[in-house]
Amino acid sequence: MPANKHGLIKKENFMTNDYESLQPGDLVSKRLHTITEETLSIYLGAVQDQTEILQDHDGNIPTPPMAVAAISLKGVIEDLKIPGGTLHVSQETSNINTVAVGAELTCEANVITNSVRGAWRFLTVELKVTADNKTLVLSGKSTIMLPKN
Amino acid sequence: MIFKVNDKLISIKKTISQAHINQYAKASGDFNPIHVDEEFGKNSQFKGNIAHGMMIAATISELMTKTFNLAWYETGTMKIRFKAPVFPEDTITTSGIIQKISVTEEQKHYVQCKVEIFRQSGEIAIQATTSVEIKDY
Repeated sequence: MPANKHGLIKKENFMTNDYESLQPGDLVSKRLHTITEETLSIYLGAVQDQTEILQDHDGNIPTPPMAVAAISLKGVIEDLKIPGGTLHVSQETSNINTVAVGAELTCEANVITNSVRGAWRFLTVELKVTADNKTLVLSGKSTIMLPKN
Repeated sequence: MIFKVNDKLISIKKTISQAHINQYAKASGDFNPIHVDEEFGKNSQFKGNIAHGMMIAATISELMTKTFNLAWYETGTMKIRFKAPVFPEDTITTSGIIQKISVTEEQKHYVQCKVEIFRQSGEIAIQATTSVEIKDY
């Protein structure tokens, strides 16, 4: 695996709660996900989204970008063992391509910044989601604040 | 459709329940106890459970889709700041306005919007800047 600009090895399926060791460029999560009709139905019920284009069932239902963003964060939450009390500070997303329900999505997250302010650690990760391992679907940036202790 | 600066976007109002929050946890895999554990919430700085920020922010995407349809899915960008928590039984209102329309050298038209989500108290829960490319301008 290639070293990042800090000379550290980028790791796949990185599972840690040693947040201090995270360096810019580190790959902290890489997972495959498929959003099924059932998952989408649970998601739409939760967010109460009644957008008409989602009700146009012609066998090719487009996945809402925020559902893709949510699934891309799932790996970050689990692989970084994000502790209770962590708060989401800011989020950026760029929707690039529509993806149909059922497509296989590859979700990757890399550290951009990692710093401590007072009792909180601020971690910013870059998100990238591709469909069928080639088409870029969504990119984004998430900043979370974790209780330092 | 012709868009103009200061045009208002179709606003959305909805009430958030703990059941919605639990359902979002299931869909997203985010079971942070601040969202789903009553005791944890009571002992937190918020004195109760709060909704996932991304669950509330999904309303911004819904609002943009209502106005710009699939163009939002294919070219939309969003920058959001979570300003205040949303609690179960809160009623939120998401509204937006077109701030700017720009044309690139490649003759691509972009609409930039300011979108805000308010709690029933008037407090801003989320502030966002969104943009979308309009192909048939």
